[in-house]
Amino acid sequence: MSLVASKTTNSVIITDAHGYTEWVNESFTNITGYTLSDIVGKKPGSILQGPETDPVTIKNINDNLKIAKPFTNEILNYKKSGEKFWFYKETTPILNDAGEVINFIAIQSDISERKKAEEELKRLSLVASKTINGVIITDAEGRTEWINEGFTRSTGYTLSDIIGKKPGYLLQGPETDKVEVQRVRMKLQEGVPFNSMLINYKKSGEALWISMDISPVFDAAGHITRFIAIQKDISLRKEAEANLVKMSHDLYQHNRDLQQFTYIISHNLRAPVANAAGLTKLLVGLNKESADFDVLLTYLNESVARLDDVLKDINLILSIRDKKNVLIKESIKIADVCQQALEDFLEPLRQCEGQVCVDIQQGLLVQANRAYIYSIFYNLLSNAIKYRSEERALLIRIQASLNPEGITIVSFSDNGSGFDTKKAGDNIFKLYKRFHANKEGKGIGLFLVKTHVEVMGGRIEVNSQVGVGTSFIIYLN
Amino acid sequence: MKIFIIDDDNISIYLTIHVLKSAGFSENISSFLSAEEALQALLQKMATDVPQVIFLDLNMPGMNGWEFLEALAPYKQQLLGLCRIYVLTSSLDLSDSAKSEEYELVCGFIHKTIDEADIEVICSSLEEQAG
Repeated sequence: MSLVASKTTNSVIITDAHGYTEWVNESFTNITGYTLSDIVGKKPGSILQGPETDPVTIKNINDNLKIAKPFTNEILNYKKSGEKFWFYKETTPILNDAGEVINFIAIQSDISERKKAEEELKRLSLVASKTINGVIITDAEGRTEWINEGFTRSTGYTLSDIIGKKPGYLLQGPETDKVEVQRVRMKLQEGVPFNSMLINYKKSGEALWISMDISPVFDAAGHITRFIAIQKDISLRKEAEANLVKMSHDLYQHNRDLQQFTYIISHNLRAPVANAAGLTKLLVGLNKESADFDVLLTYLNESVARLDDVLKDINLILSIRDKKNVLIKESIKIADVCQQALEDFLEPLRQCEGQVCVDIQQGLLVQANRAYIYSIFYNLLSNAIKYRSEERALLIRIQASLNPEGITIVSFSDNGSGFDTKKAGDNIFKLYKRFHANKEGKGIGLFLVKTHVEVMGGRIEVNSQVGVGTSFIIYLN
Repeated sequence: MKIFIIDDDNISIYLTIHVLKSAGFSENISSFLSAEEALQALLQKMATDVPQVIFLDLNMPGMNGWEFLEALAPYKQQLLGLCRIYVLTSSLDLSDSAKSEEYELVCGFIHKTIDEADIEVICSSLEEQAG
């Protein structure tokens, strides 16, 4: 036995029944720096223990020695140099035949490294547990091992909810960007630290934006043993970003509309003015009696009239657009306003033998501007009659109803000549754009309709097929 | 000399014709209120009798001036040197005049109303081309 004891790398102390040292092995000396002569006849504790040794442990040892049963401890001891280290001690009493203790054998192993790691861990977990950010520690496969308070506070999930599961499984939801989830997966495999921003869902189902910093943890061999994820709630930031984006989008759109508006207006303003200028120049040189004189005067008159028209259009359009924030809305019965507009077209409808089919929900009310609704019906009717098909009698269908979300939907369709939506594209609602060259009309009607709808906070869609007909759908809040 | 005027504005056409005739530029003037009509007529004459000068407005319903030029692109080689197109528009927009330079068939950009000075310029370039 002594051969074993002397050669083992563990330290061995043998004491008498009262705890006084009788023998120590080489390893004891190697580890502690104390030789046998330093410690013989003394209690090991008196040599090895020091100011930071846990008194509770010391008491525990003494108690256990008295009852003479095997026991183990972890104890902070001091080397001869004064350096602190940790022993894992297994103490066993040796009994004689009569059952009395004659010796104690204590076998110790140096667990300083492990203890250091434990301390470090405690310190780190203090950081991890107290930080307000959410911390998740997973194993190498991404299954949750630990989460901190911050995580529970932020998401509502406790450790028991999430332990053993991959965090994404609980946290991701319908609006989480799938492409980003894929990227995270790939990055995890690459084993490099990275950041990701995603939508996560709390236990309550509420969505929030988080920014996650993920770091892999490696063992000595370079294999990934764990992942640490630190999560920050960035919902507010994201909201602010989204608002900014929307605002700049709105501004850009508004600006483009304005630019287009001014382009169109200047074109349509300049044209009659250029004509008037040319005509007056010619008139100056002409004899009042010549036939040409009268012709020129008539044209001059017409040019001025056209100019006046454009100015009136501008005035009308600007007055609508300006009203956006102060628009008077009231509760109006769509059916009544529609009827009013129809009455104004009784004669033209009769002349072309056109028929109108009205299907409006009984008593359907909408919060809107009466004059605008009237103007919308008026313009749509006017167009339907103007662009009716030569090949069949005009049939107009007007429907209005309230959908489950509280949106009023008005649909206006005809079986007229239709237009090529691919060719017209965006231009259908644009100012002064016409698609049938041989028909009267300035190309302002649909622009007005769209402006009216949008100023009331709604939107309009159009669908058409050449030779079949056209249908407009208006959504009003 | 054969001339086409393409413009949806009848008053503008009247003025243009008047000025052209007064300057003695030509008596053979055909006017079209739509670019599609003009395109048809032009394609018919392609082999034999292409107009030497075309005055083209930009803002027209249906096919506009740009679309007319696009439609002529396949015939560019046949027309170059034979047919000179002048954009004649009321637009003061600089982007319009810049854009017109992208089309080889367009030889000039004239602001309405056309006057004698403009016609002189056209005449000189025609003489240059011939000589």
